[in-house]
Order: sequence, then structure tokens, then C-alpha cells
Amino acid sequence: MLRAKRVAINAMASRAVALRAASTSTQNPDEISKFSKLARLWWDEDSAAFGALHRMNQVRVPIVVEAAIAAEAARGDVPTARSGRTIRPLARTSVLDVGSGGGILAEALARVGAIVTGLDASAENVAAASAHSVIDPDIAERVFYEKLLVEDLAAQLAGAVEGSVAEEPLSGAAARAPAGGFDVVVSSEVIEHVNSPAMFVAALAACLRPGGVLVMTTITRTALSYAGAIFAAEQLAGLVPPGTHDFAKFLRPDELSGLMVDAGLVPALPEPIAYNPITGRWSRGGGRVVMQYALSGTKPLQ
Amino acid sequence: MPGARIGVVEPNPPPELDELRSLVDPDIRVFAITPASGRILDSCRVWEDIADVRAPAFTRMQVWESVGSGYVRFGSDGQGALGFVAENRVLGSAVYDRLRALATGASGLRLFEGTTLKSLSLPPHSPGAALGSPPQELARVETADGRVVRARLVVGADGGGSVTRSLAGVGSWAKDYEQHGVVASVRLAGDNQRTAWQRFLPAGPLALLPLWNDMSSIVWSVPPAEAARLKALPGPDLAAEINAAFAQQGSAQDAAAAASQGGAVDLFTKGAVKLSRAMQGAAHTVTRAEPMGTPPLVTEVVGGAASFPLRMAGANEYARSRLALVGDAAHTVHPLAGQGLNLGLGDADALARTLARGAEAGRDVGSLSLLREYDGERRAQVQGMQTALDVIKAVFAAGGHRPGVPSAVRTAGMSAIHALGPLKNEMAAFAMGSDSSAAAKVVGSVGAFLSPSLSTPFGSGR
Ligand SMILES: Cc1cc2nc3c(=O)[nH]c(=O)nc-3n(C[C@H](O)[C@H](O)[C@H](O)COP(=O)(O)OP(=O)(O)OC[C@H]3O[C@@H](n4cnc5c(N)ncnc54)[C@H](O)[C@@H]3O)c2cc1C
Repeated sequence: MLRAKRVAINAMASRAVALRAASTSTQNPDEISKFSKLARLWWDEDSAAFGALHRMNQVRVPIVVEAAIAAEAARGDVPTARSGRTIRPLARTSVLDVGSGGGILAEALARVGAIVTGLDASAENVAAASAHSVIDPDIAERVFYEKLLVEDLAAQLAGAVEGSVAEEPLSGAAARAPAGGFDVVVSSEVIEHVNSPAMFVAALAACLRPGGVLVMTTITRTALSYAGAIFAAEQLAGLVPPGTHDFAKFLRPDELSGLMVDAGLVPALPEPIAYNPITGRWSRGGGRVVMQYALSGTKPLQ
Repeated sequence: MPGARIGVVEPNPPPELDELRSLVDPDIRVFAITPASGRILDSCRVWEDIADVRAPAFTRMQVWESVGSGYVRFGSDGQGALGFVAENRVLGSAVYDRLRALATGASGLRLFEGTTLKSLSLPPHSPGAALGSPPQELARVETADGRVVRARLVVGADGGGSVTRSLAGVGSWAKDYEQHGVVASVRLAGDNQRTAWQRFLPAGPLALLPLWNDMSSIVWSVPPAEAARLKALPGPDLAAEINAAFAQQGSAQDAAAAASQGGAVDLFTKGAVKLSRAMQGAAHTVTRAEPMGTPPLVTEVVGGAASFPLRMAGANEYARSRLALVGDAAHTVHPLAGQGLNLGLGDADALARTLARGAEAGRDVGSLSLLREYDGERRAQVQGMQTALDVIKAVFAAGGHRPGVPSAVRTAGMSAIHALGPLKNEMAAFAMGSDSSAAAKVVGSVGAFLSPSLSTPFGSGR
């Protein structure tokens, strides 16, 4: 494997690879094993830990749909493709879900029409997600999961772009990527678990097509999110299992925005996401308890 | 939901609405429909058809008691209605006509007629069992004629004896009132005045609901033996009993009990004044309290009388993974407030909104996390209503006065209950009022108890 080959053409990919060389990878073995233990619980909607994630789709799916449609409009490939797509607003849209876990978000995006490729660092998660994806025939053919790190996918894609001397034919996630990259890359509630957020965002950006959009959601770093996420969520409500979050890794919206700029994206304004611990419902744009936010960044066409 | 494929299992498809237009006599079974329920039916595009045939509005309501002299009477100002009275078979045919129309179009709706649900398998249900990954398998539905369907969601709307509920293994509770509701269609001595009447008698409430012209319908809750006796009476005798029940004065003993409660009537009047003021402030229809009236005499019982056992029952859960229960399959209530069907329509509306919201966000319409939102929204409201109706029922139970329950409370309570539909917000505002007068406190204590179900049952915010 010639590292040099991967570098170059795609500036973002080369950046990701360079970062990878420096820190081995964005993955954090402790974090991955934490989630592997939980893999079989992903679809237990009765569990406090994952019930909240299932309900979170109520806000994050529309956020992704709106960002995808806006990016599509900005690229100018709107009207004919879009008309009559009210039930499946993401029909024919390719989505890469990085940190897809048990597939909670990936399946929801597939249900609104997207062709989703999910990446996860844990083989157990990929197994759990794949097993679940076949239950509903409506989405079975539109989701695919692979145990792969995003920086590795970025490198494969960069290699493919470079083209002529491909080491081996693309397979799996890389083969599913449309030429030029994914229309949409999402990474929801993941960056707070990775070792090198900068490298991670760069790799996410590298997987986007020009004019594509990256949509991320994460937990912010405030006194409230400290108290909320670490204390309330982990200790009191049992919202997420103890040990899921490490406050020091939380990024504020301005910090994530900065990482997107560094990765060559044009970030939009962050959107607060609120959780109501009494009703267990999520809402957009503020509310009872705001700890999460969504941020999207568009990859320039040129 | 656009794009959804829906199958409807219906054992007994009703006749087309057109076939009912020529019928002269009313169906023996009628429902008081709240304006909110009317809006729900309208949103399904069936209300126009019902109103077109016969679903007369009532514009006045009087609720009074047979012991003491408490009463509540109010009317709308001519615009809008307090509610409607619709015949069961008209409602059924209008709704089913709409289904027929949808099934012939490209709507994705399919009718499975003349058959019933025979077997149902749902994903494993294991409350508290955190281990293992419940695999959200699709539900498997088999009809009595052997057709098998796999479904993301099964909606049990099969009434109080719901087979869906029992096949799913959802537990339920029930309380038998040891009362039957005697129903009959009646002709009056004059116009029905578009007034709904309900009188609380020692044995149970007697309601007279206006249909068209001089026609009305009665619902009379009485002990089973009394129901059997009433049903067996020749028409003229039953008419005489109804007239007597509306006219009868409380016994001397009852009157003494009422008097001993000192000032109850006065409290009641203060409460009624406040009630009417509150209603004037907020209501779009209700504008004034009126002096007490007397219902027109019943001159004829049209057709026979029938009776239904009255019970309160509820499913322990309204939702499971891939299952939702609506209407009587989820709950039944005492008919004293005429809320049974209205609650069911409220369920259907809440479920439809929940599913639409979820589908928009790519959520599995049969997922427990989504259906729990329906369960959470509805079960609390319906159980609040059940409890309130049960208390009201107990307060008015045979035997008349109970120590410590002033007449005004009972009367205000029954008016609040009866006004639930059209007046819910106004009543809630009234019940929550901060007036420190004794009347407000007395009424408020009943009202506050009711208010969880008063404030939001039907599509407020629509
Ligand atoms: C005396 C009396 C007076 C009332 N007055 C009022 C009133 O004024 N206002 C009001 O709102 N409510 C009133 N109610 C309550 C009202 O009748 C019920 O709440 C209402 O009918 C419930 O509707 P539903 O569709 O849930 O159940 P139902 O009306 O019981 O319908 C159930 C349906 O399911 C079908 N079914 C049963 N088993 C199966 C199976 N295995 N497979 C497929 N289909 C099946 C049946 O054929 C039927 O069509 C009154 C009730 C009584 C007893």
C-alpha cells in the first residue's frame, strides 16, 4: 500500500490521510468497545438509552432532508427530480451515515427514500444494523453497512478519483459511493466520541461530492450540557449508559464550524435541538433543555 | 398518510348511505357528536354526507337534577351548534362509503369484507426485559377466510370485545356499573326545540337528544331489572314513564336532605352565573344562561326500546410494538356524558397525527417509540375522563344525596361533564378560575379534577 498514492488529487482526502498518519486513526478503542456491548440494545426501544435516540429521528431526519434539498437546489439539479417526491423527499439521494451504530438514523433516512451507506467502527454494530435492516422490505434494499473508518473510505475514494493505477477494484461502501462522492454525509452524535475531531471532519468532507452537504449533530459544551449530559443523562435519567460521554470532547458550535471551514466546507448557522426530559420529546430551535445542535456545511462546487 | 397501503377488515359492511335516505324512522342508536368530532369527520370528508342526510345540530342544553333545584341551561346564539345528534347507521354508512370510494381509487386502500381477524402475531413483548434485541418483525395478520397480510402496524378498532386486543395479549380492566342504558326513539308533542336534555334521577341519568322536527331519542340508565321492565312496557306506557321521570319532584326526604345542606342552591346559582360569564368570554357559540325549561311531552315511542349493559373498561396499554388500539377497543365509558364515540374519534385523530408526524421523519409507523407518543397522549386523557365520569356517576348514584356533597357540586359537575365537548376550554378556564367565592371553590374542586381531560381532548390547536 503506497501511502503516497492516496494523497493528492482530492485535497480533503489527502488532508484526512495526512492526519491519519499523525494519529493512526480517529477511532478510539475504548469508545468502540463501549458501543459493541450495546449493539444488541440498539433496537430495544424500551431502553432509556436508545429510546431517546429513536425519538431523536423526529428532529434529525427533517434537518437532514432540508439540508439535502437546499444543497440540491443550490447545485441547480432540482425541479424535475424533485416533483412529486413528497413521501420520499430523499429519493435517489446518496447518503453516507458515519457512525451508523445499529442503523437507527440510517433506516429512517432510507424510509424517506435515501440510498444509505452506513459506516461503523464496531463489527457488532454493523452486524446488528445489517440484521435489522432486512426486517422491513421497504428499506432492506436501500441500506448497506460496513465496518470501516471514514478516513479509510476517504482514502479509497481518493484512490478511485486518482484512478488509473487502482490497487484493487472498489468494494463495499466505496463501490456504493457515486462517482465524485456522496450527495449527503451525516454523522449524528458521533464526533463527541472520536479522538481527532479535525481529522474526522476532514474525512467526512472528503467523502462528499462537490455541492454536497455534511450534516452533523452533537452535544455542545456548556455548563448545562455538562450537568445535563454527564449528570442528568447518565446518572439520573439513564438516558445514555454511564461512560458514554466525556465532557472534554464536546465541541461548541463555533468550534465545529471552524473544523468545517478547515475542511473546506461552508458552514451554515447552527440549529439548537432541545430535549424535554418530561415528555421525552425532541424539538428544533430551542425549548426546555438545549444540549444538542445540528450544523451543516456545504462543499463548494468548485 | 400518502403512500401508505392500508387494509380494512370489516365483517359487516353497512349499506350505502343512499339506501338510508328514504328511511323515516330514526335509528334507535344515536350519538351526540361534539363540534370537535364533527371537524374530525369533516377532515375525513364524511361529515358533509352525514349532515346532508340527517345529523341535526342542537343549540341548547339543559341539565338538571330531580332532588334539589340545581340546573344548568345554556344556548348558542344561533350561529354554530353545541353539538350534533347522528344516527349510528348513518355515521357507519357515511364512513364506509368514503372507504369504498378510496378503495376504488388509487389510494392504496383495500377492503377485506365479510371476514374477521382470526390470528395475529406481533413482535415479542417483554416489558423490562432489556436483553436481546426485539426485532420489530412485521405483524402477521390472518383473516377468518385465510388471507395473510404482513403489516407494519395493526390498528385494533374492533369495539369493546376487541379480538385484536385479546389476540395481542394486552391486558384490560373493567368495572360493571350494574346498569343498562335503555334507548328508544320518541315523538314529542311539539318541536324538539333543538335542545338536549339530561336529568339526573336517583336511579341514573335520563337523556333526551333532539333529532329532527318532533323526533328525539332517549338514553336512560337504570338497573338491569328496571331496564328489562321498561323494555317490556307497551309504547304508551313507556312514554308515560319517561314523562313522569322528567316531571317528577324529589321526595320529601330528598328535599329535607337538600335543605339540610343549607345554601346549596344559592351556591349553585352563583356557580351558574360564573359559568355563563366564563362561557360568554371565550366561547364561539355559547352566549347566555337561560331560565330553566321543561322538556316537551313524549307522545309516542317509535319502534321498540333496546338496552345495553354499561361498563367502564380500559386496555392497560393503547400501544405495543406494531399495534395501536382505538375507540372502544381501548376504552369504554359510562354514556352519561355521551363521550364514547367522541373519545374514539379523538383517538383516531391523535393516532393519525402521530403517524403522519412520524412518517415525515422517516420513523417506522409501527415502532414502539412512535406509538408510545400516541399512547402517552391519549391514555392519560381518556383515563382522566374515565375517572371523572366514574366519580360523577358515583356522586349521582342511586340513593341521591351523599353526606358532604352539596347539591351544587353535583349539578355543576354534571354540567361540566355534559359540556365537555363543546365547552371544554371555556369550562376549563372556568374551573381554573381564581374567584375565591364559595361557589367558585365548590365548583372548582370538581372542575379542577376534571380539567386534565377537559383541557385538550379533541384537536385543540388544530
Ligand atoms: C347506551 C349507549 C349510548 C351511547 N351513547 C353515546 C353517545 O351519545 N355519544 C357517543 O359518543 N358515544 C355513545 N356511546 C358509546 C359508543 O356507542 C361507542 O363508544 C362507539 O360505538 C365505539 O365505537 P368503536 O368503533 O370503537 O366500536 P364498535 O362501534 O363496537 O365497532 C366495532 C367494529 O368492529 C367490528 N369487529 C368486531 N370484531 C371483529 C373482528 N374479529 N375482526 C374484524 N372486525 C371486527 C364490528 O363488526 C364493528 O363494526 C353509547 C354507548 C351506549 C352503550
